[in-house]
Amino acid sequence: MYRSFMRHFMLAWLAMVPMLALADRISADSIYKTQNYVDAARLYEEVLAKHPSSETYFNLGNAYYRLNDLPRAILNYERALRLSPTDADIRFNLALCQTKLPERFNPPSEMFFVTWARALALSLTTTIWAWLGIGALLLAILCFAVYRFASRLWLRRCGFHAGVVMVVGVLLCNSCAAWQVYQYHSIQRGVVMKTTTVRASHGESAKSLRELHAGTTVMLTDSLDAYRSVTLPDGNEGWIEADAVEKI
Amino acid sequence: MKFLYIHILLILNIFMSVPIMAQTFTAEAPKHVDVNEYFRVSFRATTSDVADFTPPSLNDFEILAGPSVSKNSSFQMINGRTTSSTSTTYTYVLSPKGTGTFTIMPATINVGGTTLKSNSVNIQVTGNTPKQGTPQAQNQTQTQPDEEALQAAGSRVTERDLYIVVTPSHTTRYEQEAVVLTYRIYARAGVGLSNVSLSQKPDFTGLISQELPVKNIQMHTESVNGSIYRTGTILQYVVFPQHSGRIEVPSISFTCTVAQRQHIFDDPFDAFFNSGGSTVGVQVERRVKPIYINVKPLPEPRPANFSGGVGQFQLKGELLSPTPKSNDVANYRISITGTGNLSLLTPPQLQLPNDFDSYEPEITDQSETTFEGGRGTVLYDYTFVPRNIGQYEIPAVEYVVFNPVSGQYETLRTSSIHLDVKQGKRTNADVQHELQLRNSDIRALKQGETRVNPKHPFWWGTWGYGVVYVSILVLAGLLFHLLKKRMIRQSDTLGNQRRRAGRVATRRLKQARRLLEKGAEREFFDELSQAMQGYIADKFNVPLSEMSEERIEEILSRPDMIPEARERFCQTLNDCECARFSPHSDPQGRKRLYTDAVIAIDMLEK
Repeated sequence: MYRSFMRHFMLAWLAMVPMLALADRISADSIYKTQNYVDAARLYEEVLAKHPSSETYFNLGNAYYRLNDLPRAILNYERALRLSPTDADIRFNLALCQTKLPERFNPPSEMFFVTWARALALSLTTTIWAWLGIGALLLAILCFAVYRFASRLWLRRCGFHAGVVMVVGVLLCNSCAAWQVYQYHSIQRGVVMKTTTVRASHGESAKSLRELHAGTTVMLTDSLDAYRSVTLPDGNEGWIEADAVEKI
Repeated sequence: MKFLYIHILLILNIFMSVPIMAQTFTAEAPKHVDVNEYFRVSFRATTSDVADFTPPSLNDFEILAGPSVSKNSSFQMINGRTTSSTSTTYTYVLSPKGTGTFTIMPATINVGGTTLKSNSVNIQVTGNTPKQGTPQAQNQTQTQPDEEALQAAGSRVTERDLYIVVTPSHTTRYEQEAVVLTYRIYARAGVGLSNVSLSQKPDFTGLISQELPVKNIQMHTESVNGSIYRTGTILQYVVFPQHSGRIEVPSISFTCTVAQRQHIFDDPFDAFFNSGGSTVGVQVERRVKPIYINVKPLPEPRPANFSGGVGQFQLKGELLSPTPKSNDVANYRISITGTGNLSLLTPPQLQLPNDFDSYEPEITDQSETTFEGGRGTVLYDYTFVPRNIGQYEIPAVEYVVFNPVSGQYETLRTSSIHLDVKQGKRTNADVQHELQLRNSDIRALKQGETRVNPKHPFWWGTWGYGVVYVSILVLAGLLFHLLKKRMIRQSDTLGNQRRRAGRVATRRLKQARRLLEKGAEREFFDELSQAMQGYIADKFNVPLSEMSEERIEEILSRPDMIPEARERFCQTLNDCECARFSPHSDPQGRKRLYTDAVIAIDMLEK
């Protein structure tokens, strides 16, 4: 009996630990509200070291914005966005910060259906897509059961076509979720933290193509020596010093 | 045993954040002092729950100030661990009366019911030059002539005991040039000054002022006219004169709190509220005399486009974004860096081409107020949107300032920028959206926290998800398989017919019996005949049209049929047919017929 008591005691204790960490986040929030942004930022960083979460990254981004540190604000908003790709608040704040950057990039033009597909995939969270997929699968099974076992012909025809539609739905839901998960795991992005030169190749003597201001989000494609190959928001590519960019 | 160990660790863990320390009461003082120096003796208790502080006898020293009480509490949160500590410190400022080795005996204090004693400290006083001017203890009472150096309560604090002086950094300046006003307080030894604050904010007419906050008032000792005073800077203002002439810095009044020693109270209530009778704070008002600053006017004639800037500045203009295309939102930044009246500058005038949509400049003040005035940079961001393609110029900007060091007006210039605006891809809606975004504020903090494992933040694609899918498909397969079997059985019409034969016959027989009881003879016979013939038809899947006596005989003559059953059945059927068409009725016979039919069918069922 003592053993079971100890087990329960330890489980209760372990359950308290994340609550204590949330308490840290709440106290950081209250420090932020007193406009002491420096201390709030420091506390958020501490909380993130132990418990990363998209809400905490978002709040840290807010703190850095208030301190007029745009590159760090953008970095944290991007980190928050990576964990919650569908959150509208994060997108808004990120877009707001980007309008204040000195340089604005025109994204490369793409087919309209690509834009639509991306917008669709990002309209719901992966968990919702997953559940929709399961729901569609159940409906598909039901429709095929009707097709197989119903006696009246019109019912069977309906069943078949509805079943096909449902199967398409299952594939669609899973594709949307899969795309988001792929973006998370395979696409590596970074934020430029200090103004740096983009060069044609990895090396100090390589031809310099342009200046890149801090706060720009780039896609990281390759790395060699102390340089990283990046794709800029307007689609152009180049190499920049690895220590000028921080991974999201 | 292991669990006990873990148990202890957990309890220690709980209390790790709140360290329980034993309360201590320590006295601190320097070991060696010069006979002309003053020094501090402090008594520190590691708690804030203190009462009845009783100092030791300090007869060997002149008490310049004290006791002053400070309560300190600190709360730290480092790496999830919290530590908090509080302390109360009583400090005396003492001056030796002569050379030698002296001992300061322990002081006592009441902490939460227990009386703690501090340690005693030994102080060695060396040196030979005799002091100049003995600090006078004012208004000593007869009862305690030597000990207390603080004034007794009720005694007057004169102008010589406490006064405030203002010193300007410069008495002659140009218009708009910074002057720092420093307010210093002088308190004679024996005057226990505990707090100074402004009674009312000053009204600086003709001056634009900015307060320079003084974080900690540092007091040090000075000798003024033979008396020892403690002095420190209490307030500083940076003022910018707005016109020329003799400008008055008006008099300001301060409220000072002076601690005076209160004696033992007769009334226990008074004693209670005054902590057993230590000190009481007395409020005293002090006015500072007005002073005058001579402000030189800026040299005439002033240039027409003088901006009002006085100081040493540099002007820079740059286009922040690359050359904009049409409908791109672009930024042109003018920055003014230097020292002077930065916060009072008027924005530079920028005449953008009419074709551009331009907006009010956004001013960012990155300057700080220092002793020379404002120092740093002020940024003016001009947002504009070119609407059409073409060649445009952002014109050069002129900015006229006055440099007080050289005594000359200077014209600062930026260079003009040529823009080749090409066709852009953005639409009007994009521009509106962007400008609206720029002028918005960020969205508020998020509450709550969804914990994710950074390696697998999504449920999709995890093993759990796959298991759900697989199990659904497996269940569906099973279901289909079972249903299929059922379907096959259902579609086996002939088999169904065979299986149902007995039930149908029974139903018909029942109906026949009901008819018999009702007395419907003809219907009874019909029903009975139908039951029997129908039974054979169903059981052996023979269409009714083929039914005849011979056929029945044939079927029932099969090798797997019991001959007795056949005979019985045929006989009953025969009887039924006979009775059907016979004219006379025989109720017993009918009943018998019915029973025979039941038995016959029953036998065939088996």
